Amino acid sequence: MTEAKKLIVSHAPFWHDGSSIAQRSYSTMLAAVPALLLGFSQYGMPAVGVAAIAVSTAVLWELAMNRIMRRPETIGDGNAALIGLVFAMLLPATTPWWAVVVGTFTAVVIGKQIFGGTGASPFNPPALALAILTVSWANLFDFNQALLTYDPGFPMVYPLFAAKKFGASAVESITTLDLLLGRQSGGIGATFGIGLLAGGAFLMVRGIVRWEISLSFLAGVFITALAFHMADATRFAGPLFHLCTGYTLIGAFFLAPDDSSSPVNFYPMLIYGAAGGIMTVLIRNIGVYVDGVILAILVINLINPLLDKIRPKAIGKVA
Amino acid sequence: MKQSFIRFSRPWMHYDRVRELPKPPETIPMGAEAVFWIPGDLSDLDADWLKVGDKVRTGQKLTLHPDAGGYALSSVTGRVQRIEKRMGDYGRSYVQVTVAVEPVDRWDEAFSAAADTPDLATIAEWLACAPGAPDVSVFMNAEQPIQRLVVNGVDQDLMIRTRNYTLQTEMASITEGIRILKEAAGLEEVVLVVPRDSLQNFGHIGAKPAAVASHYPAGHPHLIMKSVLGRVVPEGTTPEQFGVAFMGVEAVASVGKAFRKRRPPLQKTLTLVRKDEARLLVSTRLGTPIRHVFAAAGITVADRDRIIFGGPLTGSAMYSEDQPVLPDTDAIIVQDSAGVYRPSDNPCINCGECVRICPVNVPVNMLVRFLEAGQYEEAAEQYDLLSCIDCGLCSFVCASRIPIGQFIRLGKHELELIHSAEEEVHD
Repeated sequence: MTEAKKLIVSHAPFWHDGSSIAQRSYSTMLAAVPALLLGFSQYGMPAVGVAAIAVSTAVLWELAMNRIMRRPETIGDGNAALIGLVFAMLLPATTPWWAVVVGTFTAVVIGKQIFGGTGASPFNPPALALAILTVSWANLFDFNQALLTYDPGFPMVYPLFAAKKFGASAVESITTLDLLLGRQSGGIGATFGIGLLAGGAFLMVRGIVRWEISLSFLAGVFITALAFHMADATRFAGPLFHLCTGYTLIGAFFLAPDDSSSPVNFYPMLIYGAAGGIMTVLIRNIGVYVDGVILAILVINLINPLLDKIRPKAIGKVA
Repeated sequence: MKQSFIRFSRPWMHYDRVRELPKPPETIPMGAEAVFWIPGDLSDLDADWLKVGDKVRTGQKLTLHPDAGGYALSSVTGRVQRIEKRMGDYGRSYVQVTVAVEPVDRWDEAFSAAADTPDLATIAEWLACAPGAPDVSVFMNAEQPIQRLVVNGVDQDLMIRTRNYTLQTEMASITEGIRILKEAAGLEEVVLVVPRDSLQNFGHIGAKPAAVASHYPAGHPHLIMKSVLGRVVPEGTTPEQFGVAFMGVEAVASVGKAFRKRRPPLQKTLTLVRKDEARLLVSTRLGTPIRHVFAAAGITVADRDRIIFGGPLTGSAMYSEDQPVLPDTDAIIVQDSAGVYRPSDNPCINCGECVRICPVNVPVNMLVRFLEAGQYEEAAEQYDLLSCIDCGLCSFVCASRIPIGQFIRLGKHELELIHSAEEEVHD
């Protein structure tokens, strides 16, 4: 049979639902856009610069590591760019360029590539990078110092700092609506509550972010903050304040549900998220740090493999 | 098939169904050649028994030598033109007999004589190659008595309409087939399983009707065992070990039809899926080369297209258009090269889509890591490799596009080799 056609032969299944790593990365970046845009409009070109350096250097670090380790180039899947973008959202707009570059190095190389690349990072890379940088150069990431020169028409005192040092009365004048509209000091893409909620809702509906993790994280923050507030309303701010300040929302939608460092089973996801939320408020209210989200997320990343052992028994499994 | 926009819960993929009164299938007339596959090796062939130039009649049994167990039924009258060797999956070998077709059917009357005794031996002897491939060997194993027969009216995969159509049009043959099998195998009970939304008035068919969910893979034997018979099939065992045999509704109809008409049925109803996913129910003789089916339906196959026998999630890809329509070919799908998705060598990103869609709760995200590393025994012990029912859904939703189904099949195969090697050592 000389005229035989060469057909593609492969193993079932022959259909695919069209999802891909790239689709997940770019959808997540799209969801970050509203929050970022408000940050850009508040902090101007320095914020744009930080985001641009972060995304581009994250991609370059990824490419460099691909080449050095002689692995297939993975910059096309958008994961490195996403890491850079989320990292930029956490930073103050005045972060110097070298700190951004060191940060993306920490995120992409130390947080992801040395563990084996996409899907292998045990910690959320942007959270890990920010933790390492904050330990190294604490002053750069103190929002009160970093954003001193800005006067956008609302108090530029970092709300969590005020609440921690001066008690709940210091933040009484800040309304929840102000916080949701981004009228607060903070990271470039971390202050616009409505934008983050919209992005988070989009990601949850698309199934890219698991609602189990995000909502249990927020519930954990809310319930713990409420308990503290009810115990001592003068020292501890209310639950809505904690939900809308600092890194709570960006943590719930962009850091905690990171695929490779979060669980996949139902109950583990709920425990993981709730543990992160509770830990966040514990650190904020009785710990030494102003914001607890980053450290809380690193801790829940750590317990993730153990949590995922809680899983339903396979049907037909003997013993 | 694309994902829906809203994906926070698992997708439900429904079996194909025909709600309105089904249109009769389009009949594809026999071409110039028919092709039959006889199980066995070319070296088993007795050259005096079957050779090029032999005349064959419609309904005649083709065997390699006078005492051979394996056979094929000729669906045409004509002369043997070629006898060749063919290889199937896992190295199974077949002898392919090509027959030049003559226009007028001359029936072989041997079955008609045997049809007076509708027992298991007759069915095994004559009808194993009838449409639906009725396999009664499960009833003939003395060590493993069967009390119940489940007649499966749910199609094997998405896109397929064969069983659905048989259920709606051939109730008389099904009833007769159930009666014959019940008597011949001494069954206590026969259960007819249909998708929930196609439950019709089944009246007195001699079987207990039962409904399962209408979404894939509710019609899988292991899931029917659980949902209908309330019995979980433990990993590594089969429903037969619990006295339950499964048979497709088309196979049962073939048995009924054969004894009613005293001729083995040779016309196969199958779903032809064109490149644009348009479905066409066609009826063709067994043994028709698919090249001829495509020509009759106006489908052109080009290089790098894919031809699939069976459904999109569990079928198998064919490497030649000379492939004949076989008794269990319920669907033929033609995919354009542009629509062929390629698996990748991306690592697992742990998104968990596979874990959520798995109908038997296998932790696929962990399983695939062990399979990739070739650690098959750990995969079976800790991560439930043997519970997998091969439905293909995990590969379907995998964002990394890992060929999970292939890894699983390889893992199961390697595990079998390990175990059989161990048994040899112990013996």
